[in-house]
Amino acid sequence: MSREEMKKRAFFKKKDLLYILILLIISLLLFMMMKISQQKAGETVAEIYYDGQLVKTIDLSNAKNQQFHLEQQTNVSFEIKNGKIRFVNTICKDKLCEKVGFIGESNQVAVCLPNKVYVKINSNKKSNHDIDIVVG
Amino acid sequence: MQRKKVFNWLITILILLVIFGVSLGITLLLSKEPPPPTTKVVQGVNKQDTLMDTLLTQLVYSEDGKVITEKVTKLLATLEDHTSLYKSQSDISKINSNAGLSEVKPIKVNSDTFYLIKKAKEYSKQSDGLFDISIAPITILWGITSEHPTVPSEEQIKEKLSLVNYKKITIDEKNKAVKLTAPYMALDLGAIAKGYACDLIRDEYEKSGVSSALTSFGGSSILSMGTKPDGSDFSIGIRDPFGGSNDTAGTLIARNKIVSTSGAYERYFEKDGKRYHHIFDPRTGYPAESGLSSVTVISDSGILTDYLSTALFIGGKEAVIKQLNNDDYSVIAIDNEKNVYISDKIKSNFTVASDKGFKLV
Repeated sequence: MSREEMKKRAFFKKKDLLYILILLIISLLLFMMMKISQQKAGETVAEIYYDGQLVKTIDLSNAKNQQFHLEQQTNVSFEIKNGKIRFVNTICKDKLCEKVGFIGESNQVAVCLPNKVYVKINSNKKSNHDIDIVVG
Repeated sequence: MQRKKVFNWLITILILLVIFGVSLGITLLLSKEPPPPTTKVVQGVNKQDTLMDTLLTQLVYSEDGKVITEKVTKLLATLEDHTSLYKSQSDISKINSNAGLSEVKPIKVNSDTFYLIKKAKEYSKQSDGLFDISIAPITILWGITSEHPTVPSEEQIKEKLSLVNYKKITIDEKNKAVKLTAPYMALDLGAIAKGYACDLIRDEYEKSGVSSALTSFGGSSILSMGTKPDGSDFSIGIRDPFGGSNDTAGTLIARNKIVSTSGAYERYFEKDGKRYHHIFDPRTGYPAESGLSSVTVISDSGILTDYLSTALFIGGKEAVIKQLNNDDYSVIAIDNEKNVYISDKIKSNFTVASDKGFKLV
């Protein structure tokens, strides 16, 4: 058998190896992306309570920047920006809820007592200090 | 030749599929949840209610969490009915509206109301008037909880201050009845009711066999019971008096304790560039200016922590230093310069937020 034939009959050509490598890298990259996106989904959730009842859940990790009214209590509006949420344009006497500003870390809360609305962050992402509750 | 090429491609694809499968397996294996622990994990029940003009949030780890939290909500609604300053049929409203009427006998009250008033009078005496349960005429004058708080005139404050005197509360132990002896006097249990509510909540949890719970009443009083189901401690952030409501000046581990904080930031209004907060000094009739920005007290008794945090806030640094190392309670006080005063016995349970400029002294 000549060298030429050997080359032709070779099971793997150099070129094939290259293809395999490229495909392997692509598939690995796809997996990594899949894993990352899997982890991110549902990682940080804002729970909105009205009168003690959970009325709305928002996945902050995937939420678009937006403003919205709360159906159950129209005195209250929220703004979502860069994975964080805050009270805006609230109709109440003290506006304490708006003073809280944007929240987006585990266990953070903002309350609008006059309107009986409460938003709480639930996150499986550990924050720096990992606090369960704030007293004060 | 053509067939061979096709065959080679098929083999290549097959190999790729195998690689695909193996990497899928590895990924799944890596991302697999940790195996479930052998003991059954109890799901926490999280319940929020607006009660006594504030928010009650209960986190209870128990099989019967739903029933227990409902029970506690009802219990506190009843307490509110008896002790509210704003409900016309409450014990407190009846006592206040009959203040100074000599023809009226002491008002019979519910046992919780009686206990609260009796304790509050004792505390008023014990604190030498730093804390006075009959401060209500002053708080009402300033309208701090109303829509339009105002800075009253000197004369107005002087006039109302003359009505503030816990010694003029008559307590009839036998009949569980209370009377205010001077006209226009008024009681407001707001400064101790939330802490006392935590005592009632703890008793109810214990009675129901709850061994793990974290419950906050208005954010200013917190009940911490046991540990989380995974055995780790609940971590309690002490609010940063100079930051927002989610910022902290330090972190505390307090197992089976009630923690209460009084701070100038809770409720306030601004007038002509000056800030007026809601904790009034019974000696002056003005918001307390003691150089402290917040006082936190940790103890087994919620009524005590709620009272002491207020009294020490008004009393200032000297009062805090005097009470710093007591057997029955611990104290964390923060002054306006971010110095943190802390009882020796809880030093090891407290992590100060030095990155924000807070420092232990």
